[in-house]
Amino acid sequence: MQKSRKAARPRKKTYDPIDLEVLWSRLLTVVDEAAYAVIRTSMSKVVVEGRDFGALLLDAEGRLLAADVSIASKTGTISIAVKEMLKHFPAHTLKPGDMLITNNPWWIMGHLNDIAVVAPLFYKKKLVGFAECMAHMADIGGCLSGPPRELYEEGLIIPAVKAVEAGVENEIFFAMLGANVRVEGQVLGDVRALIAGCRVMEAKLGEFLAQHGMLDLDTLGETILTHSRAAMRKGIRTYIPDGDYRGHASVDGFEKPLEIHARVLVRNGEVHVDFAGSSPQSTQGINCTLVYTAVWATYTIKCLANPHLPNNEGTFSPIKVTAPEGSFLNPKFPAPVRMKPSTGHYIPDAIINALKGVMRGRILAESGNKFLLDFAGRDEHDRPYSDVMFVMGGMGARGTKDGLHCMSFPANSSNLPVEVLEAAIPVRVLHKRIRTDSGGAGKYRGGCGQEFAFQSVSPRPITVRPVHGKLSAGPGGLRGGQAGAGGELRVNGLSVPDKVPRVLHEGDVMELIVPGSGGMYAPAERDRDALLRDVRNGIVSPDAAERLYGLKQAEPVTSASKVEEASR
Amino acid sequence: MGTRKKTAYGLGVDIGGTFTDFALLDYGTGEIRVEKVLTGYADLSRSVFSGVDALLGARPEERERLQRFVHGTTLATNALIQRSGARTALVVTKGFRDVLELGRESRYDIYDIELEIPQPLIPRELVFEATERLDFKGNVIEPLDPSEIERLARELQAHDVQAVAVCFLHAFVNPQHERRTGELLRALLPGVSVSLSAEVMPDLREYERASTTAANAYVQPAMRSYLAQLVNGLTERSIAAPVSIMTSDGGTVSCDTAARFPVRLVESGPAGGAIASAYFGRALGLDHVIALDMGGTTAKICVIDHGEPERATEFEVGRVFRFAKGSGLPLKVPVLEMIEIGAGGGSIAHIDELGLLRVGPQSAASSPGPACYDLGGTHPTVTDADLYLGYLDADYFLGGRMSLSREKAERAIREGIAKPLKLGTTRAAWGIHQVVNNNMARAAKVHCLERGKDPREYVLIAYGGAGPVHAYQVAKELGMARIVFPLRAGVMSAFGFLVAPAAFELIRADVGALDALQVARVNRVLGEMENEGRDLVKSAGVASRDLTVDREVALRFAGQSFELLVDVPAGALKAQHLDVLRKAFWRLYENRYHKVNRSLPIEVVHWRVVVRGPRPRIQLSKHRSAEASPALKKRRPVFVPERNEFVSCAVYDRYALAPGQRIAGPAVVEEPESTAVIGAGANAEVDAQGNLLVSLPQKAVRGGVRASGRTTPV
Repeated sequence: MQKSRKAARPRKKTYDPIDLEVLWSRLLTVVDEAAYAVIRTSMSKVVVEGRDFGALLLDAEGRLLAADVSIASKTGTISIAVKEMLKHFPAHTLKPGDMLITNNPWWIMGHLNDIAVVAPLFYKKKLVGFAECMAHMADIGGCLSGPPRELYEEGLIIPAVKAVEAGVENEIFFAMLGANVRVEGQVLGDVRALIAGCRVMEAKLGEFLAQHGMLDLDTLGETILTHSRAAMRKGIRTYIPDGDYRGHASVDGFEKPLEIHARVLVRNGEVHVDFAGSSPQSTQGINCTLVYTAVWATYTIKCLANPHLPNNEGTFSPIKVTAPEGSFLNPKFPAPVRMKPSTGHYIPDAIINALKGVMRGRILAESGNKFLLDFAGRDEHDRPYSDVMFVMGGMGARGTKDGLHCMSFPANSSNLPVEVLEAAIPVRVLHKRIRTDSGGAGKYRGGCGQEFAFQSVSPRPITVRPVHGKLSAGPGGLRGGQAGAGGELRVNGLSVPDKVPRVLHEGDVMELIVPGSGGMYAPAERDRDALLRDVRNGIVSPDAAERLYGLKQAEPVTSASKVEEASR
Repeated sequence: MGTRKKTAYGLGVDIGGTFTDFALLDYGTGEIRVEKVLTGYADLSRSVFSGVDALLGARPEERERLQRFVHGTTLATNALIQRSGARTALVVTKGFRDVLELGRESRYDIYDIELEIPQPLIPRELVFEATERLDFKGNVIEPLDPSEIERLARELQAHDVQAVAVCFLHAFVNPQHERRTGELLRALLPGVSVSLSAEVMPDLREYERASTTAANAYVQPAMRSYLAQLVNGLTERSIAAPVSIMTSDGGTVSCDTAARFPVRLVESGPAGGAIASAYFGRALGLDHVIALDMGGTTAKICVIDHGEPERATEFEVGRVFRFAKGSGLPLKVPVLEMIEIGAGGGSIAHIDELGLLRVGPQSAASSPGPACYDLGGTHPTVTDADLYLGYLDADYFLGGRMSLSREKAERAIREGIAKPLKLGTTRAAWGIHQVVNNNMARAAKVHCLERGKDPREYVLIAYGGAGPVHAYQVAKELGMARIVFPLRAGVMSAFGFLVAPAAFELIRADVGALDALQVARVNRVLGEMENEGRDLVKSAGVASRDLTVDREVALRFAGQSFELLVDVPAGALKAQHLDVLRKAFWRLYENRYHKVNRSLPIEVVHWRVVVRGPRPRIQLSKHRSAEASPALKKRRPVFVPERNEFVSCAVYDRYALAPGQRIAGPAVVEEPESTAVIGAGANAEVDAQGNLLVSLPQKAVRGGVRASGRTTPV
């Protein structure tokens, strides 16, 4: 009896929808365990607080099976590191305890600060998959005093190397890495945290396989990929009609604007996004390697077609992304890439621009993105400080809803509380407020941007580098909705360009006027009560209400208490 | 009988969403009587009085015996979720009117562009700016202008507000501007509730502090009048027992304190359950316990080590989107840490975009309810699956107060899940049970992982309507060896209120390098906090000599966001104590994470002082089985996953089981409010107090989790 039961439990060929749900969710727990191991071993704020890292489980062919879902921010990543590294280190040469490492921007997240550690996963002496843990390093060396013109100036380049061989750390590699970064302890600590994450993934995957009587991930992995692929294709078929669409967006760039041209070919559940015709690569670090370009193109299609799917190669595989080599969306080595977000974050605009007339479901108007501010200086005790903060613009109006105020899209991050900022950097914030009328008018109003002003209160200079992608023109509206307000950067009242380091002396004031976002459908269609509420709350000025929405000045904007009374 | 000395009573009353629960304890005999009445939303106090009258009757002698009255209510929670609180204004530092609107400017779901964020409790039109400014050290940069506040008071009056929240930048370092504003507003606006951020929660981060202060102001008028009504009603009944109110962190406070800080009461019900679990853990000598409270809509999980539930300083109320973390209003208040997931009896099973079976977080709640309620619900829910699988008795739901339709349950599962997935109905029903258990187990596991804990070292305590039905499989999935099903699972919170000590927790933010700590200033701050705490706890009727004070400091490595609480030695702090704190921090850090680099600077985040009265000592009576009825009620077919078939199982009456009695699984033990399922191969024993202690078979534990064993249909 006992025997026959065992015999009846061989490796399954198929899983029913319940087994699959249970196994899949447990496999995600395996990846989560690795992610927590990274957090618990890391010592840097970027990883621990910013959660700027990722843990991925890939199959034996290097296809992504599972990414940690709840913890890290790099869940949407499309790393080709494993596939590329296998070209240098063929699978049959890898041994248990080996760990490969790289920061090649053309393979992982598009700039040198991201380091990935890849480990072959063995179970019962068989290679069953790969663990990849990656994180944003606090520093990677390179030139900070001026804008780099080549990748070499942006920091240490790590080719595919074995950082750990059969469990033994490569001393030369660690010494080289440590010697080339400004905060050796943090960087080496974080690399070891990534190694620890890979080790935990191997151990937990072993337990998982043993518990479920499996010898490898082949069947389960294939099932996961097949299901995900089918679901993504179905989402595409449901929401994006077949066709050949073209759209574009522009970003400020450095001396002149850069153009993003997107051709979106949709055929039976598959999408090909091609960026032919986009501007050539820049001499400045605003280039996006193809893998980074693909991250945002794929992200956009997923948001539009099936946002709740897990991230794996099956989900991503119906989406193909190409860009001509030598364009800023697929630059040639050694193009500088450090400020990639200032251009890459506008890729979704070009794709949505192409699809705006045909999308059946989710859609949103252009967003106001965000300012990224790097602070650096020395405090009263001559100790160096540095910090990064974000100041958000509006998120565009959606197909059936208003946009959101000061909520960054497509990248996501949090603000730094004023009380935390003032304690960390010698500045005083003068105001932080919603910009009235910056949300594009429409049946659904765009989210507003903000005005954020601060003053140096330090007798020593503070270096601030404010980076935004597009201040010159307001984020566009869709389907008759109007554009939101554009943005501006001012120092002591004078308008200045962004992406350039600025030195603030005591009393100097920097003002960030962050763009709003576009509206959706004609303003005349806006619900009267919603408009009156906006006017009462100061989101729309009475003047704009008359000018853009046709609200007659004589029409009473019922006082708050009366409205409340009436609604009671 | 008349000559026998009358011993004192204590009464715990928990107003919950559907029922108001009562637990009356006779301190002399250790006997407990329970009562349940439907919660009447129109007048909550009436629900309380009807239960009080049912338990104590009209005889003055009985009413006089009541010496303790401990109460928890969902009033504040409901007001926040239903947005039915007072018309409230917010006063902030000039330039920062949008502190509530802007929040943390982050999306809790990165892919869903349709996401919604909770509207602030106070609309922008009722947010006013005051000229004043402090720097981060608390120095006055721009003084407050009293005449401006006077003008503001007139404006607030014109806006007809009933409550005002005041939150100035850096007020947690120096509250003088807020205090002066409060004095002026209170004097000029009699009858208007005024909440100051430096009093409600003097912690760093303006958004979270403002959100908490706004919530306090928003619920304060309703809470004040409810508590007044309650006290009046008790006085009318000649009940002189002082009223204590349960807080979210598992302590009790006086009515006055509750009325000042109503935002601290939001999670009182769940806290009562966790405190009761901690009590059972201590009484049974269990060092590591996980409490699982599964109700109609959600499940809550609380980790309890050495008799103390985990604590947190922040939680979210009223999540607007799929129970997603980040979609609610943040409240900075001391709470017992609980993971809440959308997994309850009413959770709806559905097929997701991948074609897989999912359960929750959408819930059929109590209206229309699960299909088997036969009240119009057609979606298959967890309760429908539990009924179909034989875990619940159609004729004994809520002790027979409600009858369930097995036919409706079966149809919902068949049409909603089995047919579209091309599975048998039994497989689909077991799948629903399995998936919801997996959701709970995964949430618990991730929570433990985050804290470096191993769930296998814990004992599960299960209660709530659905907890005991699901506990067995959850424990099995987590690799746990034992489960406790406490008696009276249906009134755990009300019982927990009776074992909660009077307590008040204070937090004062104080960010700075540990090395640069000025000991004299810290001693002053700790002294102030301790005095305030002592006064508040004494006002709840605790004698000065019975007070205990715990002092802790939250430390972290500079730059990190993980902070750990380190005990602060009693008495005045001296410079040499800094080294003690440092070493204690390193030790804790290494226990939880890894070896530390001792050259890294350490930061103080905040100081925490908890003043507590003594833990109420109670001695529960020995459980006497209801001898009139046989323990074995009947046998009925119950699905046994280990055998992948329905098996005729023994069904026991919980109250008829005698101490010492043993039960071998598979079996079902019923009580009116819940049903405990005991899996095949497990052994259960009734202890002297009537608790059911279950040991899982070693094989189930050692073998760990198996996706479906042999349950996959061939």
